[in-house]
Amino acid sequence: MLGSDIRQSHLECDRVQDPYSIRCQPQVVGACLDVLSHVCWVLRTEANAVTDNPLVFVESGAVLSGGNFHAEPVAMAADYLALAIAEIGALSERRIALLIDPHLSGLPPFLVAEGGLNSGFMMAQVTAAALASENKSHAHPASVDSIPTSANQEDHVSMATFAARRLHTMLDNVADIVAIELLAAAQGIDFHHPQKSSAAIENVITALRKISPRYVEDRSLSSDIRRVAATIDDGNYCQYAESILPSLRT
Amino acid sequence: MKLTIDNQLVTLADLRAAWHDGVTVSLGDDARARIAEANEFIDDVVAHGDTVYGVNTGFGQMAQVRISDKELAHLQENLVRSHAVGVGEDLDDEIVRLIMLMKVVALAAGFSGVRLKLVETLCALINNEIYPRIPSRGSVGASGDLAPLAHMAGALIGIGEVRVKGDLVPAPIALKAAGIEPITLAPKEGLALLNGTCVAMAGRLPSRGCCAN
Repeated sequence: MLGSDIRQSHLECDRVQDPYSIRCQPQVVGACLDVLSHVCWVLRTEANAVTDNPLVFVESGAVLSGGNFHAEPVAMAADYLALAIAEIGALSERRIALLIDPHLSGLPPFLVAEGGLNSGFMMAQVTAAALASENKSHAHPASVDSIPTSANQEDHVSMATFAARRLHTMLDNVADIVAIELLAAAQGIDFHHPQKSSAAIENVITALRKISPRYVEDRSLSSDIRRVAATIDDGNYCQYAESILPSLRT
Repeated sequence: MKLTIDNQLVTLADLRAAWHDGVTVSLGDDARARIAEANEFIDDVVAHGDTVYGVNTGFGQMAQVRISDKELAHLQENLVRSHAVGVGEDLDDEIVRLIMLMKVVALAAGFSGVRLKLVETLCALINNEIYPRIPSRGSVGASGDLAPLAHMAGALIGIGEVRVKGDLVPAPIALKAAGIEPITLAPKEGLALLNGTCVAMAGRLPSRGCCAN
């Protein structure tokens, strides 16, 4: 926010506290970053592990049966990551809802001129809500399930493979949600013109506007959301995040 | 990228690059020596007639069944054939590449007792961009990813299908075209290929965007 005209103009306004989706972003996303860091540690360990059975120990001349193939560490790490992905989407959806609501945002209803004739971002928030809800179902832990297999010899299993696979759906969903938030936020900032946001945020908007023009009158946002989500997937916004979040660089 | 599996730990950045950009993988001298030593040890065990799980026994609940020496190769091949029961859409080539790479890393630690030739053939599949067709569903993530890895192992022994430049091809044809001889599995090799968390790991690793290594 450093250097933002918009922020400067609100320093003395009558709204003394923002809703949690804005005010508590550092706490929630900070917790998510901690999750990422822990999960990376688990995966790095597992990637370098021997995971078959029995294992051959040449030095001691032994072949020992064990359970290194049990993927509980991966299952739990995937479940933990699912929580973070779901929460990032949940928080983002709440901010989209905040942006389209004139009572909370102070902006035109649904972020469009001539509201009524234009429905603006009304349905984009619905899409975000549908995806955020889907991710909450996907966040149900896979690792707490176990069905005995192999005539009960393998009587506890990890379900890690599904735990990992469902993350792809969740990541697709959260990229779409964040894409909608980016579009909504850029649209909101446009309404403050000629006041500008910070240099960091204006840079993001400039990049965004190259692939999605300002929403002037009703049009389908579907392909815009896809284009923006693709740039999120490609990591295009990491450079901006790294410039303001030093901890991401380490 | 080029990756030599030897004494260095692989990093998540290595794995992400292998997933995203492709990889040419080779084995370092120490890794080759470790693999060969553990394999000699298994050969000794078989020669000595010791009973060792998965080498000369049945699998899982059938572990108490002793398998005769002349059936040991047959045992491993049957393991691969019977366990290839995956269903659902196929895993992407990028994920399959990562699965094979992680299997190479695990076997190269020298605790599995497989022949060097087996690991080299797995490397050859990766390096020739021959990707076993692996259905995505049907693993409970313990005992390892048995069904998906059985589909991978099938390609090494010339059964099942592989994907080459996007086309599905019977494994023996693709191997022949690349000058790769199909493996006849030696004792323990089927089990060493099928046990492992590689599929869950490969499914989990390719997070997009930025992430520390």
